[in-house]
Amino acid sequence: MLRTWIKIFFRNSKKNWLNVVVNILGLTLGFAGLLIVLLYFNDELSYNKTNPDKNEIFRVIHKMSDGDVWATSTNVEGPKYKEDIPEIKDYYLSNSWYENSLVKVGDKELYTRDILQGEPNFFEFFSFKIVEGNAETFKQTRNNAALSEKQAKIFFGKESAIGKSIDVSGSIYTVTAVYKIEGKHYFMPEMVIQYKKQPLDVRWGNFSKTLFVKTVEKPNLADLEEKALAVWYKNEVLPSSKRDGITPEKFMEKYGTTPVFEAIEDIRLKTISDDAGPEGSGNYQLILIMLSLSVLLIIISCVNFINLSIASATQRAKEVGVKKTFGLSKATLVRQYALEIVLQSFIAFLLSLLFVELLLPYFNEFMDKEISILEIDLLIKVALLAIVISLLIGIIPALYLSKFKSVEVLKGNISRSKKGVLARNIMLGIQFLISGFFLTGSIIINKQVEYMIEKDLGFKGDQVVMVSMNKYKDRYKNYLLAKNELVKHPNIETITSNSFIIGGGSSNSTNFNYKDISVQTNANAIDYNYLDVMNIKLVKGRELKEEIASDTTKNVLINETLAKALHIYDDPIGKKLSAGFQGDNNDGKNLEVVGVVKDYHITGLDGKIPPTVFMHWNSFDWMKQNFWTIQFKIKPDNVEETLDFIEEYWNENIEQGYPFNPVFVDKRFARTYKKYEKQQTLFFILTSIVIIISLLGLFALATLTIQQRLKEVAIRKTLGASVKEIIFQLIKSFLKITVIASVILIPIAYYFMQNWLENFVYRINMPIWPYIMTPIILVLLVFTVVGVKAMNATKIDLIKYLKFE
Amino acid sequence: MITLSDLTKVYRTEEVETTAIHKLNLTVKEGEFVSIMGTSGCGKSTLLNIIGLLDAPTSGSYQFADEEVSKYSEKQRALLRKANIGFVFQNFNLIDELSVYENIELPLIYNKVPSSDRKKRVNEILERIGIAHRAKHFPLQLSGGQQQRVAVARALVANPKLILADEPTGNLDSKNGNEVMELLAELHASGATIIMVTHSSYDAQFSSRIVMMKDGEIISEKTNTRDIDVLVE
Ligand SMILES: Nc1ncnc2c1ncn2[C@@H]1O[C@H](COP(=O)(O)OP(=O)(O)OP(=O)(O)O)[C@@H](O)[C@H]1O
Ligand SMILES: [Mg+2]
Repeated sequence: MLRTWIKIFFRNSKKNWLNVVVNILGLTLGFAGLLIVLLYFNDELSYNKTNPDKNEIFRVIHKMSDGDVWATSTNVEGPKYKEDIPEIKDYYLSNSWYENSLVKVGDKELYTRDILQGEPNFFEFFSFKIVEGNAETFKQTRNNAALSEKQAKIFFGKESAIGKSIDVSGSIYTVTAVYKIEGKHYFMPEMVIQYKKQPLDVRWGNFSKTLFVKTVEKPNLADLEEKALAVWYKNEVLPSSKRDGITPEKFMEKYGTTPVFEAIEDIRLKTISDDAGPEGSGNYQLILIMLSLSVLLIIISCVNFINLSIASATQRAKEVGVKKTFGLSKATLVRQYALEIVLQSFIAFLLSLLFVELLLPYFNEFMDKEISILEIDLLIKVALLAIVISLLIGIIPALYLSKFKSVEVLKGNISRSKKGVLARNIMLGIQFLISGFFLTGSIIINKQVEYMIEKDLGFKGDQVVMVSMNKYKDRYKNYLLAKNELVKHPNIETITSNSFIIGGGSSNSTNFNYKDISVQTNANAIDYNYLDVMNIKLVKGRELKEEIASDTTKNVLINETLAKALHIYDDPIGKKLSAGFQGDNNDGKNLEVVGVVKDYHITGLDGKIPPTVFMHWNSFDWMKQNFWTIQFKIKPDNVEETLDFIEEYWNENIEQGYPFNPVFVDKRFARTYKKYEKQQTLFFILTSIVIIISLLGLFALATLTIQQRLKEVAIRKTLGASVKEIIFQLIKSFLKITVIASVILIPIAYYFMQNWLENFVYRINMPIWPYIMTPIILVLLVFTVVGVKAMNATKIDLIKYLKFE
Repeated sequence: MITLSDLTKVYRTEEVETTAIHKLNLTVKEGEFVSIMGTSGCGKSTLLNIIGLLDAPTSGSYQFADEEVSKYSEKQRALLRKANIGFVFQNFNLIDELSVYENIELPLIYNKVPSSDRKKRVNEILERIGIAHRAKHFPLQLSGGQQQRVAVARALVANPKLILADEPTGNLDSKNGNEVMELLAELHASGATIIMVTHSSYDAQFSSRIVMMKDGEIISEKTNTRDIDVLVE
């Protein structure tokens, strides 16, 4: 029985291959989309899932009186909570971020990433699998380190790590445990070291660490938070309000801090704070959007599938011929159709697995993930879903067919119910709407990204290499050293420095005042030649000069933005400014403007050019703490060789053991629009998928409606309609849907794209033409797909459709 | 008006070859009302379809209004058909989604009749067949007889030279059937040329000539003496 069915299926598929391909392709895309989104979702949800105490571990975050929520904590609160709140059994305090540092192992020095420093009881909160040593010994003293398996191998090779000493920036630790991280966690460091002393900063206002607490089972959160607030009240609010001479209520209102306990499992996706930890945050909103999009996709694929199935079943029934099929019972026919559909969706499911497997590497690279398709639980769930879906989409057309008297079906005289037609048209309209949205969006995103790439940034960085300094000590001294030596190389034109990082921003800002106008200003300490090297233009006055003594004491440059903000743009030279900071031999009160720098971009184009003041490094000596990078202007030929030369010198004389990461300034700036280029790619992919699906939907619906209208076509033709008239008649309803969808599209797309564009301070004006282009493209697609189908319809055998059996 | 000589139609399918019409000769003059009768499968519909230019003969000659059309391409046939021939089918073949009015208007649209003219002519016809009050209805809201009358109206509206009817009463009860036949007879009386296929000898009485077919050939012809006095009885 089954064999005959399958045989019939293959025979029919051969004849109707296009319909079968379209059906399977649509479902494959639907399944694949859903699968990828679910895999991604699953991965995001897996953070801290495997922590055995996940229901008792909470991160303490703080709601500030201004509404901000800080993820960091103070040193003092943890011990106090443990003391005062019986439900809190323990706490774990650590740095908020990993550190990278030089680690001395024996006589080697190795630059090591992702080091977490914290209290000794790390493994009580993150019970990683210990492969060597043990967690008990680890927590007994404050001189211990634990290594990941990978790090242990890097440090000690095949030898056992246990008992070995390592030196992390001058502090000696003994390795007492080697761990293996399974699953995903809040902290996934390569090395865990301890605070040598319990952090004793007793200020309640110093939020710099991350604090976890462990509670009794099934704690009452609201109650806990209330008790924690009481701890704050007693230790901070009461004494401080008394000191300031205000009421505790007033103090709460002005400076109050409310601790919030955040379940460890919720942090990754749902934190209300500004930070989800060193492993980063998941974008819950994005996941929800993708999830709904993929569900929509699969619903649409199913509807398309059903439409096309009904169409081809009717058509086939007709082709088989009345006489022959009359023998078959209706039930047999229906079963045959249902089976075929289930078979098709099964094939689609398998194909989607293949598709996802092929796609995952790219997806992983794109999303910066390591997702594998081998999530058996999830696969089983999706497979079940596939079965349910295929039964559903198998049964609906079958029921639809069986609802009519079989004779009617066989003749193809299925009348079209108004509701059914409307529902189908709406589905198609939605597909057009989504396609149109992505199409319009793609065009606009492309334009903005193009604009960013081509925009004149106000500097020229293609020949300038930026090298970061890693060591804290003697940066400026090392810079001067390198500058004097390296400039002798024939391919190095000049060497310079400033305290900004182009593409990264600045790390220092204070208020600058002119008379009674005060402006929050970024301070950029520069070398004399900096502006020249970067090709940054001066609009007024002169640059800072080595020969002029006051240029390293009181003379400064300002940028156009600051000049405007201080209302001295028209006549800036010689104006006296005072700064919010001072130096060792500079009170910062009597700074004199000697030039105005043309505005240039230091952050991405989504950020404003900040008001900026430029001074020489020596004017404020402490600025040298902000020395992050050296810039080399090199000749365009033999770049590799020049960089090798710099690296060699660097490793020998400047920073032994640290990584050498040269990057061209223009490339560094380009990173600021990486995110948007990713969005561009994502939009492009989504646009393609959505358009393909809509085309399939269009194809399916065109096949179905035209199938249902063949008799009408025959009648019209008999009455003298020309081919053109018939094609127009058939396309008309599709054009109507396109036009309606395009009209609805305009405000929706405009709203979202305008919102998107507002991310950028520097952006294109919303173009009009994508809104015209999109309907034109949609109409063209309709004409092509429906046109071909309609063209075929005009070639039918009139007599067959006119005659009455 | 119509002259068929040695007309043959052969259907070829993968397995069999069917000769539906075999060397058939027939002449129909303007203003005649011819009935074609015969057993099922003898080729009546096939003949009518060829005369109606819906299909082409396999061999033989077909002269329509002194024009040899047997070798016409589909496009040429379509042009000729639209200007000269109206059809009435057993199953009405009205378009369910269009109203009575719109159904009747279709041939005029396809014949590029200007819209003001169209309105006049459709309304005239609606009056004539007595369903003007149903103009806004849809076919499925009408009785079979009414539907067939609409179909006749549609066949007439473009003033074709020839009206073809394939078992026009086949789907109707005798009362409704009679109404339709009377309408056809009336058309004939006012000068229309009609060829009708029928199984009913009663219906055939309305025509001026009866042609009997068997196995794709004409076996006898009979001129009707009982004239249109049916109308005045
Ligand atoms: N498209 C076709 N393909 C093959 N054979 C056909 C086709 N159309 C008709 N025939 C065959 O041609 C012959 C004549 O058919 P036709 O429909 O003209 O008969 P008819 O006289 O109209 O019969 P009825 O009174 O039942 O309507 C029949 O044997 C029929 O099987
Ligand atoms: Mg017949």
